[in-house]
Amino acid sequence: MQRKNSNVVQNGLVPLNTVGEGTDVVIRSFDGGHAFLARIAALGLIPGSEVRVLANRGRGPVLLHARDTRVAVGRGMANKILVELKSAS
Amino acid sequence: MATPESGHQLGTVSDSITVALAGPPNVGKSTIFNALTGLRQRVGNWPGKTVERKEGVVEFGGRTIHLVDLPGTYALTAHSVEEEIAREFLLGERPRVIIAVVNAAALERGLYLVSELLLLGIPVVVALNMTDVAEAIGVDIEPDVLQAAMSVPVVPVCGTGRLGLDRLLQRVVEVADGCVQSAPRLPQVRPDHRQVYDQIIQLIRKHLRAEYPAEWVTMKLFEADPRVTELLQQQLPPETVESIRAILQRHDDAFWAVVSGRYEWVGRMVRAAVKRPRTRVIGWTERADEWLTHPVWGMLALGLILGVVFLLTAWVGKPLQELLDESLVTRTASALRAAFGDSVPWWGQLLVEGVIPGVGTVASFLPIMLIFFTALAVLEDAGYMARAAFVMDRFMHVLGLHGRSFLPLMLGFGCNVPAVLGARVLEAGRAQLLTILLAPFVPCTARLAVITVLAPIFFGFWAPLVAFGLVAIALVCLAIAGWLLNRFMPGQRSVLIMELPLYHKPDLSTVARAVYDQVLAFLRKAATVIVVMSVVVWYASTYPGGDPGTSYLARLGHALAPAAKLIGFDSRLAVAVMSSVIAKENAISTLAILLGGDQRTFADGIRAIYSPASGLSFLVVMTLFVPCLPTMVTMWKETGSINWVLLSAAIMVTMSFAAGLSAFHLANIFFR
Repeated sequence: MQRKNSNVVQNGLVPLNTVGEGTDVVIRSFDGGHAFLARIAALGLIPGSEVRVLANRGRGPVLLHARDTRVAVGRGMANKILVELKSAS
Repeated sequence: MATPESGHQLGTVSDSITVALAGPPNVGKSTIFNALTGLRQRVGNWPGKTVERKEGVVEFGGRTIHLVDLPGTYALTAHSVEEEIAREFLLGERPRVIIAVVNAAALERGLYLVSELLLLGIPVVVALNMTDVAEAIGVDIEPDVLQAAMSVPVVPVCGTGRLGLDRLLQRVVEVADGCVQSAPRLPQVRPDHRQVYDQIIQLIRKHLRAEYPAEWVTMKLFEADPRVTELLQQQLPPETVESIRAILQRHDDAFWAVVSGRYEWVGRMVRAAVKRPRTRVIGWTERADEWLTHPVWGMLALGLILGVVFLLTAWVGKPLQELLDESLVTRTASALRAAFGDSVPWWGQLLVEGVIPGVGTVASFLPIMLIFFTALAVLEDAGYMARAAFVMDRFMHVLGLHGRSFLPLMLGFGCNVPAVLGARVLEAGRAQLLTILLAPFVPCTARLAVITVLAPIFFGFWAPLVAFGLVAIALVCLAIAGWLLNRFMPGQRSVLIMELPLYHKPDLSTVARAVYDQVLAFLRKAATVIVVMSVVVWYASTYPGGDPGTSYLARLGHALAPAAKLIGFDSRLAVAVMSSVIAKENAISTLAILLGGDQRTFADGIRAIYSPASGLSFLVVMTLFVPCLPTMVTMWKETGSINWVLLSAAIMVTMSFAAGLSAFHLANIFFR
């Protein structure tokens, strides 16, 4: 069930957990079942959403700024969210 | 929309109306609920679920409003127990009005839920909370514009200051009475799916029972909602179900068509109502989080903060506890003894040796719990505990948990009963069950009390070190048990996804409410059991014959003697451990009764009889033995199955015996 943590860039998309801090990204696609999609969508992470990676250190969760709030996403979950880099500041 | 502000006559009919309170987490929903209902509320569980159900009554303008607090949810899918509860209640009970609490500082999140609620066909009144917080971060919302844009009544409120609550209730009553007719602007599916949507809704409309709005059902079908799919199979003819399935199969992105349709609706409302676009203000939430969510500094800060909490509890709580114990138990008992004179009747004995020590012990723990729980509630309400969950997440994963289990487990240091109940903050499921099973490993106030009494007797100067070591052993055992349970327990691992709220000044009434509930949970469950059981223990240690050495309890001890000998116990220590199952602090009083003599000679008596090795073994076993009866009863109630309690007990008995065995033999090597 557990997927390998891959840094491989596919069609210009990278898993969210590989994105550096302070980077703005656009969410493009997800890799997961309907339960996963429903949870992530309810928190405002949908294809086309722009989010900023606030903290992504060590093996802890990834902290995002999304739709005016700060959202913590577990590392395993972040691995299933594929994003496109917008800018690095 | 016409919303007559003053033209409304309050109904003379004093019928009661049911109103549901909905809203995502972190919007101040419970603050509003508390402010509205005050003490007229009842806390329980949703039937058959480990999710808290709060209900309350509000009298307003001669009307009785029955307010039901729904679980905090971001949406109404069927993928979480909380969301299912909320929508089953809304569709099944059909409350007259839904109050949707929305955080003005996170408008999009709140409106997303509103976009789901509107489709249920129940009138919605939006309570716009935390406008002050929104202003502070540069968001300026015009409630009237929002109201006009949605065609849904919007009332700005401030839960912490009770501002606007009367207006909110006024509007709710008006809506319930039909004085305010609203035709809310509903979210649509994305344009490229409208045709499919129309096609399906027509197929459904003919057959669907009235309680389910066809628009909602169609949207949920697009979302591949398992419950709604099931429902259709029951209510629709098979050929219709088949053709719907065929249509949906051709549109595999129907899910996103619905979700982005909602966000499009939300975006339109936000654009209309927010006057100033948000300027990126670096608030102190951002600045504080730089440190508090850092893997190194965050952990350090967490350690420091919890250290202060524990020190505060010890410094302030401990003397208070001793004071209470002294004045309540010792004085009352000796006063009564003096009053009885030489001939103490059996009920007098019962009072002095059974009831009073029982009540007194419970009461004397109160200051410690009060301080500890207040400190944690303040940290939680200020928004810090979410950060603690964040930094602890990676460690909790080893146990099959995630960061949010950290708070309930922390509560365990106060008392295991609120810790088990505290697992309700987690989503119902595997992580919640694991948290409940692991909570008893956290050494509670009562167990720490036993340690603080006995450790100095055996180890003198080294007592604090031994106590620290015992807590460490308990936590290591928690980790081992968690790792094992996680490996062998079926079910899906849950993952962390949570919002980190803005830091804010803790609201006094919210903190007071949380502490009140936790202390009450302890008092209600523990007090009755502890008092009744101290009487039982007193009876078992006195009868038959009045000699502790030949009592029922002593007989039990002799039966356990062979096993007890392996870990350096005599029958009295074994009985003391058994009596601790009723309430941990019983271990001391039972031991005192069995050894005979008064308080002053207790320490010398113990030192004369038991070696430090036996003492260490006893302390280790006491720390790890099965939790007290009230905790087990709570675990049973919360998990809904005695099997989980038995599993937990089996694990703890095994672990405590193994740890006691190694402690005894290791200590024998080193101490002799």
